[in-house]
Amino acid sequence: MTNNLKILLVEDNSDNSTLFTYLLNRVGYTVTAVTSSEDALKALETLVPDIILCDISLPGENGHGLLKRIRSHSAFQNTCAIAVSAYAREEDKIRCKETGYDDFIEKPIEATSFAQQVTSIYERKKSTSNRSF
Amino acid sequence: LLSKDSFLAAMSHNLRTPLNSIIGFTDILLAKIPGSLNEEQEKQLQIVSRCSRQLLVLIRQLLDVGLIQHDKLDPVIDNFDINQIISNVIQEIKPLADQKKIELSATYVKGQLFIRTDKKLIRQVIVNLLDNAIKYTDKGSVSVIEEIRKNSSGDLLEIRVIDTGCGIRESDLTDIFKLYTTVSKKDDPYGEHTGLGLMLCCKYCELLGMKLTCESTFGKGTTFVIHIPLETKS
Repeated sequence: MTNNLKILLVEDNSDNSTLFTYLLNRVGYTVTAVTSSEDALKALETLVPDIILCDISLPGENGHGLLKRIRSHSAFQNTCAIAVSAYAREEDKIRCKETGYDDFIEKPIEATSFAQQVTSIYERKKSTSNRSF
Repeated sequence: LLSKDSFLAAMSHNLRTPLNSIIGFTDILLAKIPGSLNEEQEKQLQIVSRCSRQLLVLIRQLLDVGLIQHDKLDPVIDNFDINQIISNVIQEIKPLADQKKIELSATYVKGQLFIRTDKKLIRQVIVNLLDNAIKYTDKGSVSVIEEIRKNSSGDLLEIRVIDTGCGIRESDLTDIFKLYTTVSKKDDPYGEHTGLGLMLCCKYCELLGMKLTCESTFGKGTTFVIHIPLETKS
């Protein structure tokens, strides 16, 4: 498991946020959890995460709008972004890809392999990206 | 107003969101990550896990019914070993058969058998048929038997799911693949069915260019057969 990754978690459901944070903390990752698009952008003023883990259905601006805004900043153009959503139709997954997410994890997640899944997506992105992040 | 499929998608999302935490935390406890469990705690958590996964299956089925009705269910075609899928499903479902003291077995035609189809959908058909077979069998066995048949248009793989359960009356056989249909209430000790499962199995098979058929003798057992055309090697 890659050590000490910094994760920005954008999840408005507090129970799910607690679940994801627990699973990522236990493999040594640092999680900054926020509940809205606005708070995510605020957090990114000071935080440079290795991974942005984002729910799609958020209050106010959704996960698509949020990632478009994040990607418009040069510093985050190549940051690994993963959508975690309970909208799990094929068209939802395709839309996430079109928005710029590197991958999609369907809710309900597999708790015992979630951290490994996140890490694998990050490692894959890292190996295919020109930027060293 | 939301369209019917948007409503179904929103409902599915709103049901999956709390299920994510229920299934997630249950799995964490069952994996004993926070600490050990006594036998009773483990047994009860396994019930929570099983019930929440049943709920998840139902949510997926509801969403698929909406997609099928709007011709929006697009298969994702892949090349994979069907024997591996059957073997995994058998492992997964075995505790249900063990609980009822029913023998569960599979007979394969050869070690590996690659087919090109939608893995998730064919898996769902096999899960559903086995789940039903175990549910409606009180004693005896449930078995999966593969057979390859040759016909004029090429090889055909037949996957038979055979049970020695209560069987289906002839008058009910023509309707079992229709939406919201369950067998006569008096024959069904598990009156909670939605009639979604078999209808979806039949639709998935149609969508994948396969056929699902059923033979049954009331009081003796039922055999469902998935007929899968095998691609001719070029």
